[in-house]
Amino acid sequence: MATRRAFTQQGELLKLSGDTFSIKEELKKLGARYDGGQKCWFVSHAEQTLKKLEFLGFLPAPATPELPRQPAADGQLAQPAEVTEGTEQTWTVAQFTLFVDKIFRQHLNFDFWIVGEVSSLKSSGGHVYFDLTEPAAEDQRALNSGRAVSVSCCLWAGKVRLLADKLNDFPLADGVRVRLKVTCDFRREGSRLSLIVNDVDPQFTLGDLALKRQQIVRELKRRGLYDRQRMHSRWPELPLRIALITAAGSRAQTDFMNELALSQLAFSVTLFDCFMQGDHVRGSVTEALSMIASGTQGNFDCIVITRGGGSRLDLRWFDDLDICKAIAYADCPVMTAIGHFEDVSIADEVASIAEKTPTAAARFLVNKVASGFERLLGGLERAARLAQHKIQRERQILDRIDMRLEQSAKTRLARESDKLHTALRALKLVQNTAARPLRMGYTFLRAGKSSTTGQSDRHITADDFLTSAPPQSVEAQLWSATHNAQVLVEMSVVSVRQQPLPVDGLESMVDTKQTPQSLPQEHHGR
Amino acid sequence: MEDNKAASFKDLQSQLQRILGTLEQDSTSLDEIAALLKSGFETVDALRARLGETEAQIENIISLRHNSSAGLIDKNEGESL
Repeated sequence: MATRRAFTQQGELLKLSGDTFSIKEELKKLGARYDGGQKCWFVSHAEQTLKKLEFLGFLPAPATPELPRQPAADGQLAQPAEVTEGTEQTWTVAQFTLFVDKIFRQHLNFDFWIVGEVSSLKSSGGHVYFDLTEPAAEDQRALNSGRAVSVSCCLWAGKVRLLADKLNDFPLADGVRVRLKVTCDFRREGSRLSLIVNDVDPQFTLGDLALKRQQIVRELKRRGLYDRQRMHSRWPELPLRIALITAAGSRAQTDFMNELALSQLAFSVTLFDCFMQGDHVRGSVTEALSMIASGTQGNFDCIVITRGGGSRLDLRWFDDLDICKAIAYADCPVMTAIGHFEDVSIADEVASIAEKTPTAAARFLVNKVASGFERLLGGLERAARLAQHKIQRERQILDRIDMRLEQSAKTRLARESDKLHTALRALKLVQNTAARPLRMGYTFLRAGKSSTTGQSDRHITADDFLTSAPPQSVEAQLWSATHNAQVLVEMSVVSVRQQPLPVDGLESMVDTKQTPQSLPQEHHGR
Repeated sequence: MEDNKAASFKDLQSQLQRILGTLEQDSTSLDEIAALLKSGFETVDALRARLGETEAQIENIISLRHNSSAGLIDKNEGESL
């Protein structure tokens, strides 16, 4: 059975190593202290302590073996050989491999954590094989060599099943930096050294990815690209022309197209077949985005980048600076549906909208188009109703104008008619007023006819005769009761004499000489 | 009426206002009133006809509203590059 815990005496202290995490509380009770630098515990050397340590499974660490100078003939571990002067010591292969195996068993017969990058990953019969590699730069610093340092690793199928939960969130993949708990395994057949994986540390890998992620986000922010899509892209009311970036024939494409088809809306989808996993993701996705931007494949209302569900680690393909830059610079809105329910990629953060699944992305577009369509139709309908209302109002105004036209004409005619009646009444009044004195026997005198108009100029009074220039002729206006007509008599003024007026009236004697030619030729008045 | 058919709705309204204004002025002679009245009624008829046409067009648009979604429906399932 493998010794998992060992102690080594160092002066007055015992150095404890191996799997100590699970018994750290017991070690603390013993007064042991953890040394973070050496990653081991130290405790004072005492008999009581040694017994307790043995009880906890600690065994004394074997001393570093001395290289034998003479192999054992029976294949057992060689004892320090006796030096034979003048002869070279010779080992058999079996002796050598047995010796190496013994060293490994004595000194590396416990689990330890190791960090490296996975490469040449392959699977066979449920077992997983890969190389754990030191990154080239560190390797060169370490060894000043052009070749990478690596060690073979094996994850047995049984362990794969045991670690299924961890591996679901964190699958081993080429290029991923991992921290593994391993045991050293030396096979004498072929002298192959390999590491048997017993456990994985997802937090280490995710932390490493998170660090890279942080650097990319910082760079995007520095360039002002991190929220460029969200701040500046404007979704059209009807995003019907879609550029779909996904793997042709993938489940993601099928789900996306099926959801669109269910809506029965006239979406036009142009597929850009891209790698959605692996090292080619960056190249193919950025090329597709470049083609879309060039406009050679037509104009689009939006871009959808989608893939099926995957592990958390699959998000790392979209934690890529070039892809995120291409998304940020896209002319139309970009929606991602990379497919993970707990975490998001940087591409998700940079995109205008991030959905979790292809179906959700399609549903978003369907809802967007449906609501846009409703808004458009609603607006048109409102405008139509307003127009109808306005027409009704105009129609009422026209009805009023129609009546007003008729009324205006009638009012105007009535007013003219009123004027005529008023004039007529005035005329009648004047006529009656003027005719009355005549009928009473009075006579009106008017100045003689004008030489130009032939009409009498005006009525005259006695005062007109009592001037220095009295009228030479007058026209007398008399009333004929027989003919009920006025008679105009033209007379010459012969003399003018003034007499005092009796008490009850005007007495004015006017001597007239009627001339035959001044007799009236026609009756005037009514 | 031919002129009225060619004129815009707004022009017809302005024309009608001018006729009304002139008609209601005392300085307008009785001889002019008859002609103005005739022209006014013709303008009113022209405006009514215009309103009728516009209303019919709007009704037509609204009746299409419920069928208009058909314009967006298409069985196009996209094309692959």
